[in-house]
Amino acid sequence: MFCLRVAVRGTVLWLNTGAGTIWITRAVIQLPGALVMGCMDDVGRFLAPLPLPLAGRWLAAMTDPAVDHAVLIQAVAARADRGAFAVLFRHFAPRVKTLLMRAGLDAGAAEELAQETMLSVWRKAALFDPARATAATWIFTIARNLRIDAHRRERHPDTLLPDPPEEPLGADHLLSAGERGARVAEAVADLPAEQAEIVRAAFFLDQPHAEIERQLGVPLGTVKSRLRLAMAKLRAALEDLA
Amino acid sequence: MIRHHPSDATLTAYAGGMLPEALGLVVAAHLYGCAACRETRAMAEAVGGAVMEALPPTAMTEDALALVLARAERPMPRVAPLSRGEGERSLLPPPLDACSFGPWRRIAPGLRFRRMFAGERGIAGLLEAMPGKVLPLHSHTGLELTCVLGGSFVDGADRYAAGDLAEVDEGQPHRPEVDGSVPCLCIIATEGVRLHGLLGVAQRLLGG
Ligand SMILES: [Zn+2]
Repeated sequence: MFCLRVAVRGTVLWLNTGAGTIWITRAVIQLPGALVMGCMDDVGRFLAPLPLPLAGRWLAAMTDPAVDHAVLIQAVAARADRGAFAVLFRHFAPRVKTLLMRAGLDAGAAEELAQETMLSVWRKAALFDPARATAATWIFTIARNLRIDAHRRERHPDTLLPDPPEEPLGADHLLSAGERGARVAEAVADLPAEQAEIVRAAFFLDQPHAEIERQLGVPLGTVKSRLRLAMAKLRAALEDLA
Repeated sequence: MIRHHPSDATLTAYAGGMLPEALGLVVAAHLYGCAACRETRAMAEAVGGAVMEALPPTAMTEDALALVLARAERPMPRVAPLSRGEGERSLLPPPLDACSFGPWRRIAPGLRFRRMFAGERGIAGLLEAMPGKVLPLHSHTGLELTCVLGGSFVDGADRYAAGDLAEVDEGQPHRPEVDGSVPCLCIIATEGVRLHGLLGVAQRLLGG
């Protein structure tokens, strides 16, 4: 997928030429050479080509869509941007649904919680801090928390624990979340299959220790040592960057 | 200075939302005081994000986006106020503020235990032991986690003080003994549904 990121008066837009669709939110597309291509409003009507003042600045050809998703969440926070939200929804809701199904929910419950997750994305967009997490990581934690809450409510309809308070960022938190996210994704993709399998199982299997042992036929001690190896590699990948 | 930490396996399961709630309480207590493990958790969550990002999409229902946007227009429902646990609040790290507790029960001379509400999988509670007492921890039923909140204990060559987390796998023998001159307060949890030894007796007394 080929993605472009362009900044126009603080607005960053999203351009996805890979799928043949262009999603832009009240913004101007501007290519190098100061050629203004056009602009769209937030329901996607094409309003251009407009010879707007060259306020935009070409930033970069991006291959990391996470960076742009972060900006879309900020657009939702800043001005309840439905166009930006629609892009986030189309990308993340179907993946959240898959994740929840792999974690043991049936399709109906996964659909419901995926919708709930995206509703939280809308409502909590202002709490999103791109210095802490990528869009994918933030949405992952929302889905995770909602899954735990739903499970809890089943047992005790009257208890609803609040999100735990955010702890302070460590002083050594030097990496930007975008860099961290990209590097972690890369490092996960590079793991040997047997380690990657154990890492992924931590996000899919209920009762991971015992379940991994049972489903993958790997003894608990091996599960733990493989995971330790995998995490050491991920740590090393992050340290390279710091 | 925190010296003993949960394993990567435990932290990753916690970050993935897959650790039983009882064990999660102990991890939360440790995380509150441990920047290194918070860093590991952040990394594990980033892995979670990357894993999710790489998943094949499952089609949502056709009107899902419209439904969510319609709900987004409505004001947010108000969340009912929490019923808060009281008692050890000053010693408990804030992540445990909202937990509900049973009453303190004396389970042996110099030992008392207080059950915490933490889901049906696993048992969690506060354990307080006087100096010189051996903590009644025996892991026969899966993973056992203990985080020291106050005082300290010694287990073999290792000393565990406030903030330290002891992770013991099933069948690993150990004999933690309170050292120093102040009582040791811990939050403990096991994966199994049945506690053993003295804690098992306490559990049966509580009808758990
Ligand atoms: Zn730690």
